Amino acid sequence: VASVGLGEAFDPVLTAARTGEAWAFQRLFEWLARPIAGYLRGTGVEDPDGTANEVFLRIFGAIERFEGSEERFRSWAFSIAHNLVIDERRRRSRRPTTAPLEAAPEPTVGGAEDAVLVALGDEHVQRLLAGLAPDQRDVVLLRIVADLSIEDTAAALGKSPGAVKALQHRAIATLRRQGAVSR
Amino acid sequence: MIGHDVDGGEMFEDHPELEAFAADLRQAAASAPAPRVGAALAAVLDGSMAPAPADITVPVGRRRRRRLDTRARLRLVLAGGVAAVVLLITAASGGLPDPAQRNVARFADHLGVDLPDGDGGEGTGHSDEDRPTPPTSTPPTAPPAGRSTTPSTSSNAVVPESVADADAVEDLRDGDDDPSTPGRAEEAPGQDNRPSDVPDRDDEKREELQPERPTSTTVDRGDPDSAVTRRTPTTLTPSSAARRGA
Repeated sequence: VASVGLGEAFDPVLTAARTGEAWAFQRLFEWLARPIAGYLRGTGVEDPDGTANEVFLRIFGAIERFEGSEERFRSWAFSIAHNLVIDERRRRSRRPTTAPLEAAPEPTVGGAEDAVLVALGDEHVQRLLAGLAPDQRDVVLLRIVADLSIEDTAAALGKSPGAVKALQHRAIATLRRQGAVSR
Repeated sequence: MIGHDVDGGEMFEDHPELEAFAADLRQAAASAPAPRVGAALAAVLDGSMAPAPADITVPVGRRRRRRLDTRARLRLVLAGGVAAVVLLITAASGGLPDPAQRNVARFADHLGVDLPDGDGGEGTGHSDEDRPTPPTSTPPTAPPAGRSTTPSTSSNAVVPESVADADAVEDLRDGDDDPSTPGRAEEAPGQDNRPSDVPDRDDEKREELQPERPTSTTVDRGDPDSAVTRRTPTTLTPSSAARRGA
């Protein structure tokens, strides 16, 4: 998932994307599409593909105003993805889904949100992620799936690095309690 | 480099037993398919449509800049506070150049702090109200008008002006020549830059009397031949205020 960065090509790609060059948009999409989709699937959004599309449309729509390094761009992209995740969590909390009883799916691991984690494929990973609090899960996904540093994770989540470290520490403790040890 | 820390450390550096979980998570995410491209995004990617302007913030750069701004502001506030304290202490000891001393004393007077104004070491003396003690012990505080102006007495009792004057005269007669008296020892050389309209004084006598001029509310209106009567403390009069304003 950790895609290879653009490196020295980042600046010309960013410059071209600012002027609306389609090839530059494609390079940025190829670079970040899979890690962002992986992050979105891990967070359990209902439509990770549609949300990923929305993330890139927002990135391309605001790229003119972006200034910074490749790392900052990556962190910015994940912050947009995270904001969409937060929006969906709020929508979902305000609008509980209703379905006829006969249509209700069989409960899977974890809670209601965790059925989407099946998209990640590994049941063991799904169960461990489902045991984390949402903010702890965000930190773990951004740190491992998105390959962000503590600082970039903090920027993406809108938290301080210290808060991210604390969440990471609690996530690790939870994972250990759940038996997430080497198999 | 997966799950690296800010300083390059691994996320599970201290928890190698969790590396398997991290590897599983990476594998699971990597094996997931790339997102399907919708019509709108496809149009942007093939150049057939320009992306619609998105009204979103750019939180990364702005956030970091804001944090730096906060630090810079904190430094500025601290530096300003230190500078203000240093300025106040220097002004309290009368160590500033006279124009600056006058300005600082005038400003401090608005805050209720009485400082020497560089005009012979006297305070501004604009207030008739009780004033708080200045932040340093070097300058004498300005006693309110109508109260005892003798610093040697600890009483703050209100006494008539005539009594206060009499006390001051008595103190002067006692001859408080102690050179260690606060105020005198603090007096910086070359501070006697009186305005030209102030009557000339006998410098030696004036230095003797310097410790006995405790307030900014006193003005010199005495007999120039008598050290006692010349330095009789009194309250600020309209004429002296006008002269000071000039």
